[in-house]
Amino acid sequence: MTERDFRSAFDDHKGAVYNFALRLTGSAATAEDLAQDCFLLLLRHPGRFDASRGTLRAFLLGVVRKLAMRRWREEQRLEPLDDDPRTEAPGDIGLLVGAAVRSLPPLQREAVLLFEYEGFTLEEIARTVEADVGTVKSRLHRARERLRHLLAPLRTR
Amino acid sequence: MTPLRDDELREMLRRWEASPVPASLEARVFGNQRRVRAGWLWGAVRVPVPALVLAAAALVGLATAEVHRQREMRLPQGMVDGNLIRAPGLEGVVKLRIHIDSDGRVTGTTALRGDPRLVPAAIDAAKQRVYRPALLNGNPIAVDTQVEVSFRVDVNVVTKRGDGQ
Repeated sequence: MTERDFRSAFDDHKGAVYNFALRLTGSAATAEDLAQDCFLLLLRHPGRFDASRGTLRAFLLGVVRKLAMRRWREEQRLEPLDDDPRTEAPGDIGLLVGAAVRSLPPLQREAVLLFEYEGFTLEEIARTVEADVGTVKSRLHRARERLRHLLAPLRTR
Repeated sequence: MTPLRDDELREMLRRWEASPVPASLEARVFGNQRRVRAGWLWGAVRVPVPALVLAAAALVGLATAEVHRQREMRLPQGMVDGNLIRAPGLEGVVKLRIHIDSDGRVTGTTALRGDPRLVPAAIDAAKQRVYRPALLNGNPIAVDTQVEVSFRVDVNVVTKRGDGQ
């Protein structure tokens, strides 16, 4: 991958990569770390992206997802000391929506993020999360059912 | 309360807007691009491997304890003199946010996760490191990043002496 190609990939996808990581984790600092690692992985292993299997954006979001999953596994054994000062705190309705989405189990959360915010099709999500379409559909259905109830109190705001 | 309809849910989800990408991301990615291309740095500013501190302490009642030093880090003496390292199961990881200045020195630390009893030693260990600063357009820049400091008792360097034999 040439420097120009890499710059172009970064410029085109940095927003999607960073925001997917941010919405997935809820932490700006973690999102920045994940986005950095994601782009550096592309730089180091450009051959891992296979255009015949999907778009570059789908590949990058798949990388972010894997990095985030690895972090979750590592952090499960750690005890939180304090709130991350750079983490969003619910205040307005947008942040409350974010908190509701983040309260979903990780596999449902990523399905919602990819479908609702990235505009992925079920097939694209299935490839990204390495699951079959039926599984993704089921996760999405359960997530949406839960969100319908969680967010109902915000209807009048 | 009546659950949201499909259209209401979609409308509600749209209220969670995207955030601007911090400028520091570009600095971090492109500041390290050259080094990644040169093949001698992976992990960029998160630098090398999480700091690993090996601590070895004698069992209770033993006369000597050795602190094993690795990767230019050392455990503060106080940790070994107290009971902390001797306590069973006191191994773990402390996650810190650190500020690395343009000279590569750690000038700020915030503990994020981990056993509170290990935090002071983790901060001390992190501050001893000197990092290769991130580069932006060839110039060193200050960055914030996160590191993990791992502690474990290394039974191989525990020396049993003074047991009256």
